Formats: sequence, C-alpha cells, structure tokens
Amino acid sequence: MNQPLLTVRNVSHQFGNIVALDKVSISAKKGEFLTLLGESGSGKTTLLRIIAGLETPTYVETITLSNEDITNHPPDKRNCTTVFQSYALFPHMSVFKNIEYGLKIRGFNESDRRTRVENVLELVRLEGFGNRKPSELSGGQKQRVALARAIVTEPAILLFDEPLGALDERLRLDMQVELKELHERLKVTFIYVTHSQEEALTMSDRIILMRQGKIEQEGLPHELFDRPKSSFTAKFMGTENIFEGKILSQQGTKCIVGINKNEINATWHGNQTLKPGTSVFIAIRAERVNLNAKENEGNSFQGKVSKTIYKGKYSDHYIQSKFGELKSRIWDKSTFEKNDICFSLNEKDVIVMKN
Amino acid sequence: MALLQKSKPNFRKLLKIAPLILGVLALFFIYFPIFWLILLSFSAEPLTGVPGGWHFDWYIDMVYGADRREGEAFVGDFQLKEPLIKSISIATLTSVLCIISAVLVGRVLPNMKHQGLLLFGFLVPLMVPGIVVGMAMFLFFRIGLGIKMGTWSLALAHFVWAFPFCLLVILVVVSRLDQRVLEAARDLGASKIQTFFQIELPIIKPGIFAAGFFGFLLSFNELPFSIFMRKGDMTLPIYLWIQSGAHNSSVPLIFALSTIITLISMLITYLIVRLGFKNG
Repeated sequence: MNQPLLTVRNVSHQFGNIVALDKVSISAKKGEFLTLLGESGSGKTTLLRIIAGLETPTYVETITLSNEDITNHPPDKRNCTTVFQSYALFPHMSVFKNIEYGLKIRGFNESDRRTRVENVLELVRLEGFGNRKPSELSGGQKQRVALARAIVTEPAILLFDEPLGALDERLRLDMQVELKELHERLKVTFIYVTHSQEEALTMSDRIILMRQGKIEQEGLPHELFDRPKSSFTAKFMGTENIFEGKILSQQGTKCIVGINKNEINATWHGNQTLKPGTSVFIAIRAERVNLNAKENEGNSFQGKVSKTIYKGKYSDHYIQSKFGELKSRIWDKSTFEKNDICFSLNEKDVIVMKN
Repeated sequence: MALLQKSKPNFRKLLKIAPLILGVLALFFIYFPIFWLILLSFSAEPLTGVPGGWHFDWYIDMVYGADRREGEAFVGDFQLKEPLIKSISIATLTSVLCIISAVLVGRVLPNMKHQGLLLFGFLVPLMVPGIVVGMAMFLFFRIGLGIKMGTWSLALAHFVWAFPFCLLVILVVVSRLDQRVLEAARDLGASKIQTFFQIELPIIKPGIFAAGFFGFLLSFNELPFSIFMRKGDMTLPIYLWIQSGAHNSSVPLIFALSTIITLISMLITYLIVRLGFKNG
C-alpha cells in the first residue's frame, strides 16, 4: 500500500495571538517511524495533539486516517493512542487496570483482556507488575506501562509526545533502542515528537524538522544530517561550522564558493542554478575537518589552533583560519601538539545552502 | 543568620523554643474552654463556672427528662428532638447541595480567565460577618422577592455559608489532578461522561468526602444566618441559643448537650482528615 496512512492538510493553529502552526501539511506511511523534530515553540507537540484530537485546530482542511475523514472526530473516536511525556497513568488504578482500560472501553470480555494485557506486559518486560500501583513504580517502569497501555488497543498510529524527556541519560539511550526494536516488531506507524536530533537520527525512518510553526526540512535522517538545506537545519543537526560566502561558479553539484578572498570547492544538492555572486552559506561538520593535510591538496588551508577542549571520547580543536573560526572534532587519542597547521576539507563535506 | 551566629547561645535557644511555646499556648486557649465545658457538664453547679461534685445527672436529664419520663428527650420545656432532626436534615441537604455545586464550579474554575477574581467572588461570604449576610439575605429574599421563610430558606442560607469552604476543598484536589490523565482517558477511547465518572470522580473522591463533611458540620453548627432566615423553625444551635438566654433550670443541660455536640463534631472532623488526606 503506497497510500499514506495519515494525511494532515493545511493545518493552522493559534494560541491567542501566538501562531503555533502555519499551514502545515504532513503525511505518514503505514509502518513508518516518523519523527517531528524541533525546539520548543516549533509546533511539533501542537501538531501531534491535533492528530490525536486533543487539540482542535483554529483551521484545518482535512485530517484523514486509514482513508477515513477524522477531521471532526473527538479523540475517543480516533484510532490512535498517545504516550505522554508525564506518563499520565491513572493513579487510582493498578498497572493491570491501567493497561486494560482501553480494552474495557472497547468491550473486550474479561478473559480476552487478561490475555492481551499479559502479552503486552511481557512485551514491555514488566511481567508480574500487574498488581502494582503507579506510585510504586520508577520513571522507566511508568514509561513502559504508558507504552503498554497505548499499544494494547492496537491502534493504527502510536503517537509519542517526548516520552523519554523525563528519564536520565542512560535510561533514555536504552529506551531509544527498545522503542526502535518495538517498532520493528509491531510494524505499527509511530509518530514521535522530540527536540533531540540525536534521538531523531537514532530511531526515525523519516524526519520532519519544524521551526516556528512551519516545516523547515523533511527527509531521511542522513539527508538532514549530511545535506542540510538551510543553516538552521545545519545548526540544529549539530553542524558547528557555518560560514557565509558568495558563489563564484556552479555546475551541477560542483560549486566554488568565495569567502574572504579564499576559494572553497563545495557541493550543491539543490535543483536550482546558482548565479555567480549569489549569497550562500556553507556548512562543514566538525568531524569532517582533516587536520593532517598536505599543502596544495584540494581545499587545503592554513590555520592556527587556538584552543583544544578535551571531552573524553573526542577532542574539539578551535582553528583560526582566513574564513573564521573552525571547529574540528578528533575522535582518536592522538593529541595535537602543533599550533600552525594545514587543514583540508573534502569538497563533498562542504555543503552549500541558500540561507 | 549572621545575627543568630553572633548572638548569645541563650538567645538562640529562646528563638528556637519560642514557636513551640506559642503553639502550645494557642492550643491551650482553643482547647481549655472546651475542656472546661466538658468538666462543667459533669459538675453539680455548672453555672458557677466551678467544676466539682461529679455526676451524670445532666446527661440523664437530657435523655429521660427531669421527671424521668422515658423515650422522649425533654425536661420541662427543653425539647430536643425536633431541633435535632431539623438540624440534621438541613445539614444533609446543605451538604449535598454544596458537593454538587463545588464540584461543578471547582472543575472549571482553574481553566477560566479571571479565575482569581471569580474565586474571590465565591469567597466573599466568609469575609462578611454572618449577622450582616443573614440580615441581607432576609431582606433580599423575604422582603425583596417575597419568598417565605422555612426549611428551604434555611438550607439556602447554610449553603451560602458552607459553599466557600467546600469550594476551597474541592479546588485543592482538582488542582492536584493532572489534566493529562483525563486526556489519556479520552485518547484511549473514553467519552467525556465515561472520563468523568471512571477517572475524574474516583480521583477527587477524598475531596468530595471532605467537602460533604464540611458542608454538614458547618450547617449543623450554624447560627447567625439561621437567626434571620427562619420562620419559627428551630435548628439545634438556635434552640441552644434561645435556651441559654433563658433563666430556668434547664440551662445546665446545655452544657451536657454542648459537650456531646462538640465531641461528635471533633470525631467527624477527625474522620474527615483521615479519609481526606489518606493519600498524603
């Protein structure tokens, strides 16, 4: 089935005078892990809540799920469930009853409910926890109960509202792997909201990066990581080195960009032609700065190492060069003694962006 | 803190004990008169204010009558049964009215604009002396609207008095309720009604119990509003008030009755606290 499972057309939403979403349209395919990525205020959570039906948008053209128009359906009539950041477990019910709730509403008989709840408890590795109360659980356990509760009703889409935000780092990293495995096992569509680009890269099939209520860039994880289309995307995805310059020449993907009288060979992934003189930005990931360059290699430049910060797994070196301060990240143990160095950049790692 | 460190050790000790002493004094002033009342109810000459000569006579008189008439609580003109029943029925009515209104208002108040102002509006009866409100209500309902006084007018007056307290209690539990929990219920397929009865109500139940008891107790012991909003009706507090102004021998019985009412009220309050705050 190539038809998208979910489509949202032209949704706009305002909170008072604040625009949360500005004519956004998205679609989700069956079985994909789609991430809505962005900082606070980008509109990602609002969009998720509108899909769930928990928020009524100021304006929306249509929302369809499994070919059904659910635009005006209340949340209880939509075939999707949400995993909340604060877990939102029912405090007066046991773990078992919490998970069972959705099934009870749907009219499953007692033995069916029991089987399904026990299966899902096993799936989230909480066998035997049925009789505990939410107040007796740790954060990670509560998260898994919230997950179980959402999964057991077998919805068409599982919505995640920054579910790992309240967990500590170790647990968060473990849960990321668990969620990814769960997704592969269940083969259900996941729509996942997060502000962490790292989380998005780890788990998603596709990422929608949002900014101030609009979609900034949409695509596969490596597309956003290696080929950002704007400096916002580049910065968000962790690219440290962004410089402004002018196009000197462009042919297909090959470009020459001029910055402060230096020429850099760069790569352009866009479709348009860039006229010489156009203002552009270039982005270079810190990991891609080669500090052991030979002079006269392509894209090699002189620089001075001004500062080194040791970070355990890697070291960051700050290089003063003719086009500004460059950050270089080295992952091996070799310490850098030299001050004056020659560094080079592979032209495929120098990405040209229009803004 | 620097002041404390530089001052003499004795002064610091005093500063630490002072709150404790004040607390004990406060409790003393609250409970001693009540304790005295209880002592006097067992005393031979309670009107002298001096306890002594212990006996249960006043209690026996209260139940069986000075003529030792069985079954009916009455001594001379001290007729308890009617005011007692009236007070209980009005208190129950008030309690129910308060619970329903407090829940309806308490649920939505936190989500409204100008909630501070609205809350203040609801709490105003607490700030105005009871006599004044009672009189104002009488003028408005009896004279202004021509509504006759009776049991219902009393229940209304008690409702006005008790509602602010009940509202505050409900607001406390409602504000502790995470809205996301209700959203989760809707998200899982529960309708608005199902969510209210299956999720919201059980969670705020302790608050509802507390509000109900408060409403009952406040109504049961209410005097100033009732003075104005009654016709010839007698609630227990009114009866006691009238009797205590009388100069006949049934007065000492008031001590016995008051002791019993006080102890029952304290017991009910204790139960409220246990039930209402069981979950910390």
